[in-house]
Amino acid sequence: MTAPATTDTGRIPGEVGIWVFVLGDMSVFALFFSTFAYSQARDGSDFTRAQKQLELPFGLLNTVLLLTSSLFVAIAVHRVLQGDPRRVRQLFVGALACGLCFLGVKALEWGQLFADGRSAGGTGGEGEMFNYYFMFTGIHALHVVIGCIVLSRLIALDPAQPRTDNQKVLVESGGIFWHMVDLLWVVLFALFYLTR
Amino acid sequence: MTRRMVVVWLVLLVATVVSLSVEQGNVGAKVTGVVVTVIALFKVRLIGQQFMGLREAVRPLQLAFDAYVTVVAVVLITIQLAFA
Repeated sequence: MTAPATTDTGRIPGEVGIWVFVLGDMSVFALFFSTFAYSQARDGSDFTRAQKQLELPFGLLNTVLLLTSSLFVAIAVHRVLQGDPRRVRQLFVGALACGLCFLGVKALEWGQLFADGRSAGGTGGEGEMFNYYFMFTGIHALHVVIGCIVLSRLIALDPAQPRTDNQKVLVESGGIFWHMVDLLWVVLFALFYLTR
Repeated sequence: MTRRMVVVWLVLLVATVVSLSVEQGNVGAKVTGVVVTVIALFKVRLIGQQFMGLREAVRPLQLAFDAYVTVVAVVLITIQLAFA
């Protein structure tokens, strides 16, 4: 891990490698988004009928949770970069709590759908929609789990000790990953819950 | 700085409520799809610029991110308008 890179006209937040990963991961999700939008447009009413079976309050609550967690992480990262240790650990704990609540809400939502007989592997427009839904939100939930592990690592850093340059890069890179998890959900929420 | 981030968070929440109200309204599937997509990609760019630190980043990184947002928006809107 290296010190934060800077140039005359700007800096690279975190590490170069995290941006390669983030932009690559976002590109894979862009293919997911496009595939979903195409299938939705092609299949029409069967597809949107299945979308209407998704509970909007679950999606909305999860959106608020991730946006709020991103706020906590953004403030914490800024304070670490400024050498200001005030409430940094509490902010990361708050973000982690939001992430865990997101997973809890997602589990509840999936549980209800399973109880109603919905699952991956279906056929027709309705089955195809749920295939996309379980696959994409499942992959995204895996990102949330990884993000929670990253946040746990950042919480474990001793707040009383001044951060080294390497630790600052670690914290900022971890924050960038978490924000990526947030912005991917923003698009998933729009596609699954709002375009129906 | 903290205040600015809170303002960004509030803008993100308001944008979410606006897209929700569009979904609840009777404006037609195509209009809903386009407006909701534009709002979502606006939120993505806001998160990138304000939370991920791109506002102060080197130009190529900013351009790469903006290119991503633009391409995804254009592709999704084109699909919604051309194939629906």
